[in-house]
Amino acid sequence: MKKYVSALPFFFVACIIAGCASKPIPEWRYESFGQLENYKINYLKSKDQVAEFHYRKTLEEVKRSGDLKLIAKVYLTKYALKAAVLEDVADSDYLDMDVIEPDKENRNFFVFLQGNLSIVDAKLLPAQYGPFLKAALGGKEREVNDAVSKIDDSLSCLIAIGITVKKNLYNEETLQTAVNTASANGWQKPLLAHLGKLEQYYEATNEKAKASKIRQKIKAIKN
Amino acid sequence: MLNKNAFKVGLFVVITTFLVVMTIGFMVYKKGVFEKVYTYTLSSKSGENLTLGMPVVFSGFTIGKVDVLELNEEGVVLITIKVPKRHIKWIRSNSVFSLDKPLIGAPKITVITENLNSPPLSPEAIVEIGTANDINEIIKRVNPILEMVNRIAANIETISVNLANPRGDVNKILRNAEKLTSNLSGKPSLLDMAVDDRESINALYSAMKSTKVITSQIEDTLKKVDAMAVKTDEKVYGREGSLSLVNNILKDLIIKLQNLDATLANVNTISKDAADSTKDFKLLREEIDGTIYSIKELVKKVDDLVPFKKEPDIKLP
Repeated sequence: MKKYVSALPFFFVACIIAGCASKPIPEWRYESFGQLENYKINYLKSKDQVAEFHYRKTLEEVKRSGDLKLIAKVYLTKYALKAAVLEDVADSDYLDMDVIEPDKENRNFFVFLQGNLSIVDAKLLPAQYGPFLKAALGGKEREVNDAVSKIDDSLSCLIAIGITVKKNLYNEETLQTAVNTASANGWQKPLLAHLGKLEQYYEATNEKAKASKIRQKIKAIKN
Repeated sequence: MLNKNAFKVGLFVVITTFLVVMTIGFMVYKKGVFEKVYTYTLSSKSGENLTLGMPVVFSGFTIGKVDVLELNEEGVVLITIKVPKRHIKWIRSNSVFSLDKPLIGAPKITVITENLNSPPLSPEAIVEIGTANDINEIIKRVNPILEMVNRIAANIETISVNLANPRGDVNKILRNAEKLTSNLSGKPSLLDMAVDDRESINALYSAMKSTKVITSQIEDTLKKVDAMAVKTDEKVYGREGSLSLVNNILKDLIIKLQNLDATLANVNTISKDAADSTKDFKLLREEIDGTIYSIKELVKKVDDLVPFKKEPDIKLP
């Protein structure tokens, strides 16, 4: 036993050396990952010009590798963000990639984003959406709200809510969850989108006072 | 047999030892260790540049060295020098000792004896030492020259930088000259040279032509006015008369036209400045790009140093 304990420091040193000697990450991977993260954050913060710049750079870097599946993933990320801010998804870019090199996982996510939940394969979907998919297929708003609020990742939560809105499975609570999530993260774009949706909801349910309050809130945020 | 060899070895050892001792003895003798040494005392107001073992030189030959340096009760530095017997003939009662600080090399004490027939210096006498400060003298003389050289070098540098700099004055002048000469050779008139726009020139020409017509018309009008003036009364050309009013308006017009001219000149300058600024923007942009690229590289290098780092992987959100 003592022998092993005395060998421990050597083991640590060996580990550190192994860590240092590990192969450096290829620049395009490092760059593309960073640029995509910047794109997401800036897009959600309504800094459209900056976001567009980072998106362009991401594509530039990923295209260096020639990995079509990865390029498709970048396109899908863009669509997912659009879904999170309740905007329509333009799909031509992704479909071009899918024709050349189809990928089950990407295709599955694309179908999920479009809201065709009945043909989505839960196994191929990113794990965090599993319970949500189940609830959404059940079609009960309360369960959907429950599943959505349990998604840890804020962006994934907003994406799920976006799909809920598209499928008309939402109620006041769903939109409130989205507003709170966007607000907590300081993401102005989804915040305004969901506030707008909430206002429409109150108008439809004839709750004029609440609708007016939301309108004022939107005005205050925009100014 | 053994005895014979032992004898040879013994002889070798004895001879070698003898030779070594003799050699050392000879060297020591030659070095003047056994020679009688005389001691003289010199004095100096400052001990600056004085060191132990410093040579005492006569006509460029070392004849002794400084042995002891001490400060007496009056604050005067006493320098004891040792001179071997064979050299004391150079040191006389009228010898002058001076501390010599040459520009290059170590300082030394120089002895100058004008008259070698004068009586020898008494070992009890204390002779004051003079200072020949080569370095400082030279520096004092050289300093202004150096400053001048510095100024000249700076000027030359400015000129050469200007010559080398593509945006520098000299190059600008050259470019302007080139432009001017090409303009001169290419343009049919002085006006063409000044204004680079054909349309404006044509406009100016036509304006000048119409000016001629207007002038002739004005001349006619003036003649008529002249004719009228004879007949008109005070009201027309008096202080409050219409002519003086017209005159005032004309004066005003001239002032306004002059102002317009100044404004035009300003517009010209502004457009030129704007063009220059655009160039600066480009340069600035390039510099910013370069800096950001360097920072990015640095960050990447630092990042590469972090062990056990997770490899970045693009995943579906």
